[in-house]
Amino acid sequence: MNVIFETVDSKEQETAVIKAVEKTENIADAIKLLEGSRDRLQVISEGQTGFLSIKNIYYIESVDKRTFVYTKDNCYETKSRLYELEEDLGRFFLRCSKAMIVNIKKIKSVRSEMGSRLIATMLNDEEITISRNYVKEFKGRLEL
Amino acid sequence: MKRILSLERIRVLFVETLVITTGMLFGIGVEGIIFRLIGKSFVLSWYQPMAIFLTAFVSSIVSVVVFADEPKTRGRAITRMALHFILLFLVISLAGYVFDWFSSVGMYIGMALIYCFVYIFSWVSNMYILKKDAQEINEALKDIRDDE
Repeated sequence: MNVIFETVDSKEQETAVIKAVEKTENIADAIKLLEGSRDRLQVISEGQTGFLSIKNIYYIESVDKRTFVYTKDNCYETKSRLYELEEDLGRFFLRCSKAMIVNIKKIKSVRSEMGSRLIATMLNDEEITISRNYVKEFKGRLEL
Repeated sequence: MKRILSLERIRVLFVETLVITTGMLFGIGVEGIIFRLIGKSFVLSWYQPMAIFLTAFVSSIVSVVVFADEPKTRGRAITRMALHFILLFLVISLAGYVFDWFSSVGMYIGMALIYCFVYIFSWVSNMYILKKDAQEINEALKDIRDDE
């Protein structure tokens, strides 16, 4: 594969474009590396520490200074703080309220609700609220 | 208190004050044109622009305080909106009384009707914009959604 590198003036201008016949495993790994997102998160479940694949996370919630990670059927606790995870998990993880980050890829649909909010229905049919302050950012992540 | 006075809320307070002031001055401008067209005199007292700004500022404080937290249920959202509607109406009624915006019951009812119209129009517009946003987001989600 030909690799072209060009220097740009600012961080905002940094873009990587990969042109390939198909998305191979190597290319997927390269994308992950470039996006700077980690692929596993250390979690605690029933006193046992383990690792959870990022792609299985539905949403993350902070309750009483503790951070809980929700997957399709389970809930785990993590030592990481919400703001740290917001920075680390990549562009598909969106802050949707003061105490919650949602994985956009796990949202089935959204609908408008009273109070200028959006209600997101997740792939497991759970519903979460996207506060009005974060709707603009949500659209930005989807390049709308 | 700290939550209410965050930088973001101060920004919202400032923007809302300017938007409401502009809207009210525009309304007075239209009123002036109508009075001119029907051949009546129209005089704006020296203190009215500042009265409008003050009313807009107090209205914005009410909005920022009432909507300081996100309602968790639809019922709470409706209650909060009803509270906001009533409190804003009280602010405008009081301002109208203090700054002589009406001199008869008929004018007061007229002002109340205009207030209801503007409030409902703003609410419907917001809901329409949000509905459009939801449609666009749903379309965009199709391309990135995980298969499960």
